[in-house]
Amino acid sequence: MDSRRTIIEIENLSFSYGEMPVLIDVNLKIHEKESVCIIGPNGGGKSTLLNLILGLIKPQKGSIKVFGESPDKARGRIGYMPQYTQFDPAFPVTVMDIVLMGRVEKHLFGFYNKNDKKLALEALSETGMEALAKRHFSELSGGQRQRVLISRALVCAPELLLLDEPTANVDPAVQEQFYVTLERLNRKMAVIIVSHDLGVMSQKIESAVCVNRYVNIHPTSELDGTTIQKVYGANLRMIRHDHRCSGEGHCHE
Amino acid sequence: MITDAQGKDTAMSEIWNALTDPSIPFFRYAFIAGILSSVALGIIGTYVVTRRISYIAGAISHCVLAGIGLALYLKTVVGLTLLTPMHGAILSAVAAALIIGCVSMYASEREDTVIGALWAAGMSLGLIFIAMTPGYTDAMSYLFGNILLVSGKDLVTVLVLDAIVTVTCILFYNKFLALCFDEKFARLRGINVNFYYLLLLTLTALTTVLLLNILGTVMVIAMLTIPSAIAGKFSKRMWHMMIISMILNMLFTAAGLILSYHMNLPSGPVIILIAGAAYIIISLKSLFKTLFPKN
Repeated sequence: MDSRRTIIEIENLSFSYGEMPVLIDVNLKIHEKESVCIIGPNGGGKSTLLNLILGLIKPQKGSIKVFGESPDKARGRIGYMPQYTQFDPAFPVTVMDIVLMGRVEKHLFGFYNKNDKKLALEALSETGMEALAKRHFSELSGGQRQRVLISRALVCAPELLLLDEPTANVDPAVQEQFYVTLERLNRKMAVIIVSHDLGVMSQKIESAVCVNRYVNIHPTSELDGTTIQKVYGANLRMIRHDHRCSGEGHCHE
Repeated sequence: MITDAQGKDTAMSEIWNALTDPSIPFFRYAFIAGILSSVALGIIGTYVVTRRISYIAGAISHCVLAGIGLALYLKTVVGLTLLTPMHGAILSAVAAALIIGCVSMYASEREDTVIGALWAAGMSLGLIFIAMTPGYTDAMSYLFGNILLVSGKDLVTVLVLDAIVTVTCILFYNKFLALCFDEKFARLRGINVNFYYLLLLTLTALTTVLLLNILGTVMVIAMLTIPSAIAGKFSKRMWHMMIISMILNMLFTAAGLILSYHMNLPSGPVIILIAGAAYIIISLKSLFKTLFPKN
């Protein structure tokens, strides 16, 4: 069993929008400094699970604890990175302005101080973006915008980094670089990636959480062809069931 | 023969005379009102454009009629003599802003539908109250203000509005910026986004309603959106956009007043047409750049 401290604990959780069940009887544990990928088809409940962890919605049944507290109390310790495509590219902000938003709750009135700016530059250097601090957001490429949004999450000094669809609309070379950055960050904090794209599964990620109304966990490990044949009798790459699965196991439709 | 330079000189001195002539204070007041209202319009316009709530400003400015009508009715029929149409206007504008804000935050109704319904119902309610009030009231005079009828008292009102808007937006600059750019992230950082959104809508309502009897509905909406939309094309940061928008507002108002004075045309439409023409020219330029890159 995993000896690391549990940071997310979900027990018997169910959630539905009206009559429509979205998540059914979810049990899930995520540990500190773990790297997890939440995958599943669109509409399978990934975003719902994400919003539950962030405390933006409450489950109708079951419980969810983040860092041992209710999620809305713990959300300050989470660094959240949304999809960069949702932003209006013409919005008048520089890279620095965006990263500073990670410290917006620190002052009730007025402007950011020198310390805020110092921390923002440090967060930008973590992702190799400090040279672009004065650029307008629209001048950046997709991969660069994504790095800026990670810097914004990092400036909150998070213990958990939550990334929503980070590789959507980013070319493979940039993705590769992105994983190198994530791996480095993962030494300091837990990382959860949400994606609908199975290709996201990198060998550096420890577990995969499959969400399609029901939730199941697998460790990811790249097996060679013969092992896969032996275990599955088919060419199912990277994923196998884990001892952390729920008792009944699960099936992929 | 008069040369062009001389012609321009005469025109300029004529405007200078009009501005300083003590017998026609209305031109001077109009000029000052235009310059002063540019401050609030530039700041709030920037939020209206970046947060994409210009239709909310539209709804608020029309709902004002309900408050004006109710105030006139209560004053004349019920006998609440202390009430003025301006009180009703301010109350109904703020109420409309809060209703729209709460609907967009909590209700599952389609936001644009609610705004459209409120827009029409507010106007109708106002007209009904005015019809029920004895005596003749020209409802339109409340909706279509006239910048040439500005009084010294109006100038003080605009100054107070400028002070409220500027101070609030300096104090909460970072909060409003985070809220307008990424509401979800701001919420996750523990910011009370509902409060700040309602505060922003209330400031929008105040700006709209206080400038209404000077500029009129159409001009308030035009001057909230057009200068800020142009400024947005040249701005890297939010406060740059606000300052450029203020300057453009002042330029359009000044140019419009001078031109309307010369050509003997109504000032509001001339100001709006100048702003609109500038917006079209700049938009066409960026469209041209997109269609024919590298040329």
